[in-house]
Amino acid sequence: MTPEKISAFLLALADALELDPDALSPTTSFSDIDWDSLAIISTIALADEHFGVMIPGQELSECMGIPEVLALVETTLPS
Amino acid sequence: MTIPSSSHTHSSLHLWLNNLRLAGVVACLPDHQVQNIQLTNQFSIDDIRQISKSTGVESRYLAGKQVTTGDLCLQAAKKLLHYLEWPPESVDGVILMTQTPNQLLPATACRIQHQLGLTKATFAFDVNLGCSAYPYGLWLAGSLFSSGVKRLLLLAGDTISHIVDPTDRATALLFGDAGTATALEKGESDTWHFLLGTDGSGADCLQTPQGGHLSMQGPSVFEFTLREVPPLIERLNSILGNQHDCYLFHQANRFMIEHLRRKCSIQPEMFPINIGKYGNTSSASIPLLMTSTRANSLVAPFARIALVGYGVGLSWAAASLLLDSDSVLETILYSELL
Repeated sequence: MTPEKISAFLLALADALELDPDALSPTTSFSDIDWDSLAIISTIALADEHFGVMIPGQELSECMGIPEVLALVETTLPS
Repeated sequence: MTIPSSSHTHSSLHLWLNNLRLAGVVACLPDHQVQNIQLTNQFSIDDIRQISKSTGVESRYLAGKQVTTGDLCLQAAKKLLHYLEWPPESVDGVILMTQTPNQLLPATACRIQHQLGLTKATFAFDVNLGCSAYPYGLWLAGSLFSSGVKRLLLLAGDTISHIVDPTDRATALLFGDAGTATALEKGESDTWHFLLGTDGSGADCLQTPQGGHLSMQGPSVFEFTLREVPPLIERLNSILGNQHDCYLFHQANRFMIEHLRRKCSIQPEMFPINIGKYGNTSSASIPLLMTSTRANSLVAPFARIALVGYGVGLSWAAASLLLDSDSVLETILYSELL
């Protein structure tokens, strides 16, 4: 999970969530973002596309921000 | 006659049928087309834009309170019989695939038998399936031909707008209504293949209690499709040796199906999408995709098409069949025949 890959993932996620291209960084919290089921579906698809992993929707729904999403991707990646 | 053994080693059952012909499909839409962006009394413009961006739905055709699933399917069936010049007495049966029948009882298909003027020597029944209904229906209907059936009507339709909670962001702007009719008869075509699967452990993901509203756990449904659909396509392609000219997926949500398309390595020109105009029409979505995309990839003579449905149940199915170049494929509006 290189910084370039993370940037590409966050850029695609911002686009999917109708946010400004620089709205998401590895430290962004979801306090100002509508983190609903549609956002979670987009995140599942983009994590699969960018990292080849399937993150469970239930665990994603409990995330409070991008750091937790990236941690979930990290733990799901094959070691 | 040898009966091939079916296979349970995958998460889908492989079955096949011979000597069938799909004579035609008519899809009937309600007259009322609603643009999502106009629904600002329920949601803010920003909300609507964001939801439309992720679902891909810009407009839908909605039935209104007075028009039922049976009404839409009946109009489609009337038009289809007219096109094909099939006399009513030549039809042996009517099967309706729906999650939104006119009433709890009787089966809506029984009313339609009478409304179509079919003879009493006709079988008629409903089947409760949604997103996976069409390939399931083709398999079920096609299986009956070995018992002597010569012609039948397979209807697939839903009026999900009648059971949606208008304040629910996940569903209120997603579903459209439509009714379809498909004519099947004995033929001499190549073998039709089917892959069928069920996982009732996910039944709560998409459900409507008696008298209640539809509830959908979108992320769980998406997880399930990502898990089941790519292997399903891989298996279908391996059975048929990558012969498909066209893949017609249930129009669940544009973001989801585009992702599935890339994951299944299907070229965009072989993968029509119409969810933007019609929304998710549940059991009607695959036959509506057949009629609404007739103008492009489906006109090739003897096109081999893959039909893929997945969702409520949880249930999934794929069908692979050969389409005649002279099969009727038409989309009509409800009031056209009234």
